[in-house]
Amino acid sequence: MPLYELGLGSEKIHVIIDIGSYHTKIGFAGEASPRHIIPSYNVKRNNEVVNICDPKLSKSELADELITFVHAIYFRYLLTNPKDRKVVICENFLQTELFRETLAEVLFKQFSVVGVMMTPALPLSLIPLGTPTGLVVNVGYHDTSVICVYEGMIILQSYLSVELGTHAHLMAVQRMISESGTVKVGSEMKKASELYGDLDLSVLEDIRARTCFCGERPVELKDPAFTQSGVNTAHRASDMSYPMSDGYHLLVSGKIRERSVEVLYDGDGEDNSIATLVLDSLLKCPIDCRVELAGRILVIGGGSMLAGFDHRLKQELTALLEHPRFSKLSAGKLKFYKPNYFRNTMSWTGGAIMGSVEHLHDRYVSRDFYNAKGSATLPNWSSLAPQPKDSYQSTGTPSRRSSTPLRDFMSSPLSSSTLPPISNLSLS
Amino acid sequence: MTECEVNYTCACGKCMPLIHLFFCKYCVTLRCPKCVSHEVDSYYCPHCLENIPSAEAKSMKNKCQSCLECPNCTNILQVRSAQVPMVRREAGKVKGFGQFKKVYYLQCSFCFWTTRDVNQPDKAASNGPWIEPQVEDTWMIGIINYYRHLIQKEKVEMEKRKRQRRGSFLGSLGISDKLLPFSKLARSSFSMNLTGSGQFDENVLNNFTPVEPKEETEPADEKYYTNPGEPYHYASIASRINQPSNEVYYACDLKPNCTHLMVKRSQRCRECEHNLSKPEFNPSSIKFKIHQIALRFVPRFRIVKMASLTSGEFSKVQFSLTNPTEYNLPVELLPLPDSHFFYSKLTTEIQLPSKELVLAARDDTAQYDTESAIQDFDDDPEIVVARRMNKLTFVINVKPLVSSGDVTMGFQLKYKYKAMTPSIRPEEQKDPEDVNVMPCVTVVLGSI
Repeated sequence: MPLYELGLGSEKIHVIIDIGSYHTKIGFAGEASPRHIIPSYNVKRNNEVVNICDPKLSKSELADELITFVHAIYFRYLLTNPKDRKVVICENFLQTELFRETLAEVLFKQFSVVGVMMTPALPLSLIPLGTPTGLVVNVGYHDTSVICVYEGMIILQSYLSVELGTHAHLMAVQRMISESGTVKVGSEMKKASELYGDLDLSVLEDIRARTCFCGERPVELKDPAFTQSGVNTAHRASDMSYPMSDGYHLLVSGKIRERSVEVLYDGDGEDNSIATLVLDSLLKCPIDCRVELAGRILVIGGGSMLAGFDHRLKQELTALLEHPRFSKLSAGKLKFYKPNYFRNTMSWTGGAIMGSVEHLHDRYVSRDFYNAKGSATLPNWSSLAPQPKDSYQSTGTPSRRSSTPLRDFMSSPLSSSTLPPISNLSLS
Repeated sequence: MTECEVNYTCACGKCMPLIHLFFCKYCVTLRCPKCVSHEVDSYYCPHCLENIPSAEAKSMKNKCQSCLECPNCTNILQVRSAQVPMVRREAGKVKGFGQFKKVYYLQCSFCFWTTRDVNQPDKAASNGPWIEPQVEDTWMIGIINYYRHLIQKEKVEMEKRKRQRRGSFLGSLGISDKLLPFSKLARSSFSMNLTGSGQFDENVLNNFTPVEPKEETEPADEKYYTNPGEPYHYASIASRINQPSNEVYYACDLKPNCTHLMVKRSQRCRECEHNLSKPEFNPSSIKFKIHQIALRFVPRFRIVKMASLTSGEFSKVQFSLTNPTEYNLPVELLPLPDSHFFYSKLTTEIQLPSKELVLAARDDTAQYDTESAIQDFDDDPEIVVARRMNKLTFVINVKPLVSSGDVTMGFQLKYKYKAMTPSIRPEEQKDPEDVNVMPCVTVVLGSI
């Protein structure tokens, strides 16, 4: 092996893949930002778009799609041989078993990687901050999820998610445009809904990225709990005109720009919004952790890249704390982390730090072990089975409370017989 | 209306057009792109077609340093020159203009984005430097170091605990650990030796300060409310994620991108680890050093002329077989084995030629010959329609068994492949031995 290919120690630099439901972040260990952020879908020859996270895919279809996807990751983006390199997968917490197993099969059988570490993405995002404690709010494309990590221990009960994310925001923008959007055609104003009907998702996304931001909490609201859609119309942002592909200008009103994001705080109809999610999650934590967790909130995910997002979340949380629903919550002062890397790639960066630390060999499932034992041995955060001794160095079973948090951080409750299995978890 | 297609079956059972398949000479079987392992062969820049050594490609993060891309539309930027007057200053005040000076900037010839748009100063030389060197991320280095020591410390402590647990039998005898002559220090150093490079520095752990959370958060900039400007002042999602290390809100913060390199790939058979395809080193060359694609080894079956298909009636459909090898090739057509997955999808009854079809050898010079010796193949005029060089056109009677839907047929080709056993010494070179190759072919003839 040539000298320049040597990473730290005697191994090649690991590949870090963070598969999100909309964008996938890929790159090499030890780097602060991913090399590429690519869409998590394949475009087929007939221009059909297949999202690799689509739960409707059957095992063989999923395997086919993953092979194409991972092939592109290695040979189009990272330009490296998959052999001889270990892979760190930052995975979604509630990833289906089918997806994990298929991904592992594809990586081991098709690409013959040396080792794979699958680790939950949310807690990883605390690693670049250097803190073992925190409450992570991930605003993704389809949903927003919250998890608490205390001294390196993932508090599983605190995992909550709600189907509010960038997609819900885009839909709100669409709704508001078709309600009140106008287009200037010549000297007269026409309704956008008549001219365009439903806008393309990519256009909506561009409108959202270029015009929308997160306004401050409307002051006139008296009931701090739940605002009804349409009530909080007050806005002070000025209008913008967005050029459409046909040359006309769509008037994006200040209301859309400032208040379309309200949908994330209005709730999903079942009294769940991003803000209640955070507090509900705190409620599920032991009471003596709450003050510390509330003082260490980290907001990540592509959806939180809107200007003023965490400021608004804080205002919402402060208002909600006075609501009777959360009167029992003794949260103390709310404090937010200002991430030192981009919010949408925080988990990836955490994975990159973990991938560059040697002495973590025991966290990887090796190819030989996988080939010998099959996919059933993939460690799973919810699996209550003891660790496979052969693959891990015989350091014994890690104790539940080690003085340093990292082990639990990395493993998730791999060896935890004290934590409830998934069926006992009450997810929103 | 479904399209007609002819697929060959790979050894793994996947059906694919012949052009996508490889043929492994050593296993004497077809291999699809998923049955071969791919390897990075050489790096090149797709714009300047410069070959980049792999060490350089790695250190440059797979970017070409000389070709720059527009951050908006990813077209290649071009260097533009302009004449600007030199400003004479005295004590900070403009005193007048002197001679003209030639300066350079970059422009996208497609969307007219320029480096002047983002207030990047013009350069005195045409070759830049256009890209600022990346600042080393000290936080990242520090934090990796911190976690390294932390894990090391944890391992040592784990080891210590394990020893203590093991030593508990002494406790059962009523002897405390502490009374033993091996002090705590000695034990810990012993366990450190066990764990290998068990060095950690307590100072690193103590001196590390994590990011602290803050009580105040930043509201959206007042600019967003009162003076948002135009949508094009903000960067689109595509240009943001195109620069993962420099994700920006405002378009004026975008920087030119370096062109991402591409690779030439070589393919290797997964079973026998022989190389199946290896491109030439030169990026602009389309030739190969090793090129075992199936098209060069397997007779190619094509549909020539469709007949109108009616359910329950035989009609004559013309097909052709092309011989890629340099020797006459007798080919037999056999019915599809019922173990094949496509067997249950067949919707026709077909009458395959009962006799062997002999395909003439491929001769690249034949088409230039004025008088080529016409070989006599003793063809059955009922089956063989035409014969031109190495291509044979023939008829198969097809009877669709369904009244609507896809018309599919399948068969097995059987021909002899002359397998050369390569040997280092020429005197040991054996005569080619004939190996039967029997690829399965599935055909969709459209729908009725």
